[in-house]
Amino acid sequence: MKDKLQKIVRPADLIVVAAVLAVAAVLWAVLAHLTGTTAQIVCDGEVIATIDLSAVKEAYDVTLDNGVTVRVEPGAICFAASDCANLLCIHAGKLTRAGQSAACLPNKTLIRITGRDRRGPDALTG
Amino acid sequence: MNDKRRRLTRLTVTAMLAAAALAMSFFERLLTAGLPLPPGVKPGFSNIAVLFACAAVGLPCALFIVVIKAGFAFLTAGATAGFLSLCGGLLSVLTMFALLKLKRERLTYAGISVCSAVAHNIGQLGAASLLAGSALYLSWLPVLLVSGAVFGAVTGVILNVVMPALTNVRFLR
Ligand SMILES: [Zn+2]
Repeated sequence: MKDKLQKIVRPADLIVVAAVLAVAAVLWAVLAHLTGTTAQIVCDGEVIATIDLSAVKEAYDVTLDNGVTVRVEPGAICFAASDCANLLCIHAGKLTRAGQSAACLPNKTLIRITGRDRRGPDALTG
Repeated sequence: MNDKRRRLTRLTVTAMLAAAALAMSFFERLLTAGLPLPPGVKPGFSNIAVLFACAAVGLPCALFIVVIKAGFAFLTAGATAGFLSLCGGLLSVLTMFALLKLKRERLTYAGISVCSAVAHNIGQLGAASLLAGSALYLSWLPVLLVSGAVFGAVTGVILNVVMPALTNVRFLR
């Protein structure tokens, strides 16, 4: 049984797979870091604002119709105030990298940072 | 076996493998047509035929299959698809050829298949970036690396399993 398995895969094969996956993970992290600059505010399933965080020079607050306040900062976004009971949204803290998100479920509001911003590839070539 | 007959056998096997590669590509397209796979992510079953060709018949046979496959892509999906297929295929074959020559006793077909699948995806992505005139598609590389590792391992393990049954084809060398 063991002999048969050894014929099907050898340690070197597994090392190759692990190496490829590791390179992919590192690359993904680097790219996400380079490109994580666009934030979205989603209310009730609809994107109501898209903000290029790298273009933000000074912090400002956005108060939504449902009473939730979102703070936009250079390179970051977070929930600043909400009337929800648990305040999980505020405890989520600042989002700075692509793929991160935070939600205020009682108010059906979500903030997230999307990846693959158009600036990413340029940053790589330059 | 005399030389002439040997060449004829090789030619026949090459044609058969090319046909098998095309059939597998076609079958793969049918199989994945309804699936929401991200762009460039595909099983690459025809890789089995190419790797077998490279290992059991020789480099020219594998290159021939790659060219036929690119021609098929050109006819069915257009010039861009044909060019991408050719770039990916060539890089993939050169990678498997080098590995077959090099570390044969350590890696099985699984490891070689993973490397060639990754090389295939890098070749395609490189060609696509070249055509687009930017490194725009580079952000897609992590996805294609993972896809190459997973599907390359699958096709390589398949070849590891069926290869012993095909060892009588060794006389082709
Ligand atoms: Zn909340």
